[in-house]
Amino acid sequence: MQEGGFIRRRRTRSTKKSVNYNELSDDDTAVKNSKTLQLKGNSENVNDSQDEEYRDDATLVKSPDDDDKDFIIDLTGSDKERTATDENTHAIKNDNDEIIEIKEERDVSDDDEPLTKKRKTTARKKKKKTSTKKKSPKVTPYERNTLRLYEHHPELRNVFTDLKNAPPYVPQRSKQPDGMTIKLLPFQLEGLHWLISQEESIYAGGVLADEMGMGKTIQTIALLMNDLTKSPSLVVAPTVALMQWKNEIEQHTKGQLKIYIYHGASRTTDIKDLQGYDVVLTTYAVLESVFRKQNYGFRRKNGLFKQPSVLHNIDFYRVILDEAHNIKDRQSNTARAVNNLKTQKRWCLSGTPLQNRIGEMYSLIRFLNINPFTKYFCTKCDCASKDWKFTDRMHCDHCSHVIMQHTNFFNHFMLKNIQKFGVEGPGLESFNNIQTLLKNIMLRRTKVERADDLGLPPRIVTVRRDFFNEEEKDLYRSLYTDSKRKYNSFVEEGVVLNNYANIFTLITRMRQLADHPDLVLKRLNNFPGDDIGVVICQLCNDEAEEPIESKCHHKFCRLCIKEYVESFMENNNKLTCPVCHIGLSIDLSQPALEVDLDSFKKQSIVSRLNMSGKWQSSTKIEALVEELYKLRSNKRTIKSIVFSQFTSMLDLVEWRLKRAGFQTVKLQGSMSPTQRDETIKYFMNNIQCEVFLVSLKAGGVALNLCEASQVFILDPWWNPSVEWQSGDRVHRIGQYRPVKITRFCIEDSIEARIIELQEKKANMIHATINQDEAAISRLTPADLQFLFNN
Amino acid sequence: MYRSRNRPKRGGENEVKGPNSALTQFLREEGISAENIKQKWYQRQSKKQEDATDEKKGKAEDDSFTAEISRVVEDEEIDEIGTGSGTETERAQVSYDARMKLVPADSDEEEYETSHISDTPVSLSSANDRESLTKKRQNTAKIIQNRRRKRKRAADLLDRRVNKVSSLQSLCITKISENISKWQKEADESSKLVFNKLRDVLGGVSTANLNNLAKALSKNRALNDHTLQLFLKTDLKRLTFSDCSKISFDGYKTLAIFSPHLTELSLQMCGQLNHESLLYIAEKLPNLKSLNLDGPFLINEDTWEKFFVIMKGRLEEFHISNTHRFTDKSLSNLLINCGSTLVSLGLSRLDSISNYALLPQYLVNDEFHSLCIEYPFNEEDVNDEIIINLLGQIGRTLRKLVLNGCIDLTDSMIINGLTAFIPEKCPLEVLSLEESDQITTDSLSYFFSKVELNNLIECSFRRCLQLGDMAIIELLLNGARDSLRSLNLNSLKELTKEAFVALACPNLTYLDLGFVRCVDDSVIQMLGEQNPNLTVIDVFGDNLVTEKATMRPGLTLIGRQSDSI
Repeated sequence: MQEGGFIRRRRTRSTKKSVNYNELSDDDTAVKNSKTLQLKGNSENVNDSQDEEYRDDATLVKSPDDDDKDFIIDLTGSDKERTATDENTHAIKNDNDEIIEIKEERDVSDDDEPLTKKRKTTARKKKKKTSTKKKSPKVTPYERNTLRLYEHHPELRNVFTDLKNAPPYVPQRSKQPDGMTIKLLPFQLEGLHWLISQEESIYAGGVLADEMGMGKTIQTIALLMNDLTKSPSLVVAPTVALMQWKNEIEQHTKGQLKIYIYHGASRTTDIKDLQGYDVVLTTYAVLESVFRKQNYGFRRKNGLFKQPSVLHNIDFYRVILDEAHNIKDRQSNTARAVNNLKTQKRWCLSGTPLQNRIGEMYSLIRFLNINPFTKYFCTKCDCASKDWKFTDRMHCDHCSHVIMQHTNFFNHFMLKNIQKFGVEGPGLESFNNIQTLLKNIMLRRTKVERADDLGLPPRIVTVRRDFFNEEEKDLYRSLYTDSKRKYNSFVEEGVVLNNYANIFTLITRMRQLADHPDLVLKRLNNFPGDDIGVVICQLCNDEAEEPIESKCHHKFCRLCIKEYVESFMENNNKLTCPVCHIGLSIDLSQPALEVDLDSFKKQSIVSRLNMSGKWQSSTKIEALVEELYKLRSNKRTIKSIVFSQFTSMLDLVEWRLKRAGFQTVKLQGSMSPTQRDETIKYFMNNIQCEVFLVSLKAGGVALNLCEASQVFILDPWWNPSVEWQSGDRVHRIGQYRPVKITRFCIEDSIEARIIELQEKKANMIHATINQDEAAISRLTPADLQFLFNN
Repeated sequence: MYRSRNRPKRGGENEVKGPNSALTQFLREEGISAENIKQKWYQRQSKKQEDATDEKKGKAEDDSFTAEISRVVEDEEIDEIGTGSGTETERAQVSYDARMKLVPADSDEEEYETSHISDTPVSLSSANDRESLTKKRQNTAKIIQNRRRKRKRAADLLDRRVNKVSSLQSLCITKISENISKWQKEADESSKLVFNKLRDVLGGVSTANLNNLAKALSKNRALNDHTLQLFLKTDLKRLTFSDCSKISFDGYKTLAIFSPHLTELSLQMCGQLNHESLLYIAEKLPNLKSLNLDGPFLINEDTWEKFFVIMKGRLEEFHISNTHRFTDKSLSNLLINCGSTLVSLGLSRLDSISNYALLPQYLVNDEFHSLCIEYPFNEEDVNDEIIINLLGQIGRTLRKLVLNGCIDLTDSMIINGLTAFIPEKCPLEVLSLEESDQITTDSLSYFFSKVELNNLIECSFRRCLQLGDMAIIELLLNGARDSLRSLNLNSLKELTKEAFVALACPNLTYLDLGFVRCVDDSVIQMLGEQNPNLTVIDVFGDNLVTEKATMRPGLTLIGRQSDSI
């Protein structure tokens, strides 16, 4: 590494010279790049003064000056020397930390002597050169880098101390904002107070991470209402939640806020249109799309076009990201689109800010733009920048040092060590660093903590374990042995990681088989030739006779839909599509459709089933039917939500339930916001409609379905927080019925193991977010290893 | 024309309106039409012709009759359609096969889209096809009617509606509750007055029907502060609301004021019951001795304490479920204040209770008869020792024992508890040990051989996964055989057909055999013959039960796949 550095420096000297001058003038250290023995000789003195300096730091919190820089020279000057003195610096650093954290007096006096001793030995070693180097205890790269960072960026030293010394959050209630029609609960008023004060603080925003269903939306609306002069605000939400935001804002503010929904084809391209609105609502997808069109352009017949983004050219007062874990991948274009918005205040709302890796937190911190956590620092000079700019892929555009010499503050102090050590030793320190930071920028209340305020019903989670019947067991076993053989051959060849996607597919197949064999067997590419697809009428759920199609692309028997339409005789304005519940428009005399294979592949799995009455259900589907049947009685109506992550499974279930006489509605990803809205309304307002089918991804977040009180999760998902969220759809304010969440699991399949894995993950999440000390001990390094290396 | 009652009901659909008479309306709703009857006659004719081929199907009786017909008709139709438009389908077939090869792989994880579909319409307009077209239309109509009938039947099964014709009383009650729900939706402001009036109008309704009305209202989720007024009668002694989630705390108070003579009160899903109203109930209902609360999760420790102090000496039955604020302290308050009078206690899904060991000390009433401990938060909290101690205390008089979801219980509880402390001539009527997967055949066989359960009416071993044939056979050799009315063997996967040979109970009416995989058509037939009073068998997940199963008239299978698919 040392050599490489030198060579490169020489090669690029001509170009770098000017930059070097800059550095010199900035640092006021003329000797920066020269490495002389004289300095080595000085090292003793330097270190002495260093100790003093550090003491000063701790007591006076004064910024280090020239002495420090001498020391820096010492370290960077020669690599041999550097490795030798690393031990020292390590020791110093540790002492320093302790001094800062606990008490200065004792440590200083105790450690002074050993330090000098060490120093002497290292000084000797230097002269003996390389031969003795190995004997000295190894210094971790982490400590080496930390020290280097502190040298060039003295302001970083106090980051965590300052954070720790920051006044802890004291709950305080704000007063109910004028014009809010809903009465805020006590903890929501506390949240509002925090929001207001946080917006005024140096962070200019933060993360509101209350658990699901505690009214993050309401609190945010209260913030909007708190000072109407501070506008406009942009709310970025998942598509499912868009209408809900609109409805809630309208409902709770009596229309005092003017809302523009920036979504759909008719959205404006003129900035002026957005003037005068207090709140602009949009979705992540739209935001990403306009950003892409602005920066990368889009291709049309005659070349590449770029279209300036309306949203990126408005100066917002605040930007609010609902379900902010949507930008958990900081490399994604969505994250970039969000980061490029012009705004003064930034907010993230998320009930589960951490889903898989601690690194996901970084993306939020980056959006919030909290210094210095988002910056890349050079370990060789004072270069610091928010962007990773290495135009020639080797050297920093700012300081010309190589990639290896740059590090990200968050990565360095908070992430890497946890990945490396788990929550032990240096890892624990990093862990505490994260928690310290979060305490300053995040507010999280759990339902358990605020149970009395919320008045929420208890939430019961059970796992219903079933067993395959003989046929299913046979089928599963053959798939399992097959998959296992493939996997073993990957292992033998040592190409497991190369075949990750393959292995994942194998696992997916096994999970689908546990749902219903047809999910595997009726996939299109192994579609047996003699099986003919049919159009299914969505009213009678059987093969459609003379199928015709409505404008919203749902197909019915001509007769079924005709009767359905006629049943509305007088009130035609109430006529809605029986599937998606928006206004129905259908040409009853249109010619009948034919089975069209191009469209067919995109059709529901139901159209590929054997309709002649020989179709067999699966254990899991029947288990669900039984559960739903047992809920029915003549004296009460209990509504349920059914989640699955396979849309095909939902199609099958819907079809089976409808055939069994249940009234259901289904929410799927391809629906427009209006369709979703109408579907949800239909479910909420119709007593007879008892089952709501949602795919885990489409409806896992931001749905408010208080009318239902039972949740069924058909297949366990890798990530438990997705499942918690789905439970939270019904477990929220306004729910007066006891809530029960049933997870289905086929005991003799892979699902049993997934549930085991989930429990591990749940432990981790509790440890970080809920700041639960005890949970950390439940977390072994192996667990983290298991999670972080995927 | 035929009209379905399965259509989503919207507003005034069921009203008598326009030129239709009430009779037409009624016929229409019940699905009776001249066309239908004609069709049936045709079908019967064609059936006679095909008698030879249909001989085996001919055995089917009453209940499966309509299904039989629909199948026959469908078969015919498929034939006809096949010949009618043979060339077209062939052509479609060819192109289908050709295109099939181009279909790329799909992935099930993705959301598919139904939005871009470009269907090519078929031209059906050649003149000579006209006739066949109209014929086809008729057939289609028939098919669709059959489907609708099938759907209706499936829905009826789901509602456990076994008898076809409902009584006038129940029809009226349904109508009343429907109209009440409708009113509520339409007029929010004026409804209060309406209900006051309504109470006078309905003044003469009997208590039994009032209870039925309460059920119907809960079913429609229409029970709230306004409709509650219908039940405010001063002479009311017992009241059950199945879904109180919309009754506010004020509602409970008015209830307490206007019905002061209540002795038994059952409020299910009472999520808005708060401190104030619970104490109000305790104070204003001096005769209250039985209280059943489900989901009173707003009420905390302090209130429970006050409540039990007020109820001291008069609370005889107390059942509570689904709350996490009923803690160990509340339990000890209950036991200290009311333990000596309690004869019936139910604790279900109480997340904050762990100290069940308190129970044996305090439950000392000589007439204690019902004990339900269900789904403790930590399974270890309810262990063998506690139950054995409890049974030692109250086992002699116990009539109802429900220990659902106490997973920690083992054979020791059965042998050292149930067998040891329950007298040989035991009064036990209800025994439920659901989900106790550690209990084995051996212990239960021993228990059933030692103790005469002459009064056992209801028995459930749902999901006691280890139970095998011998336990069931032993139960049936016991005196319980003659008294048993309901038996739940759901998910006992170890059972084989042999267990059912012995299952011949004269009084058995309900049997749950869901997910007992060995159950097939022959078992169903046998059970039907052996148990004269059996009306319902649940067979969810029993994939060997097919439409060919022969059943005695009056016996209904629920959950059979072939009924709905």
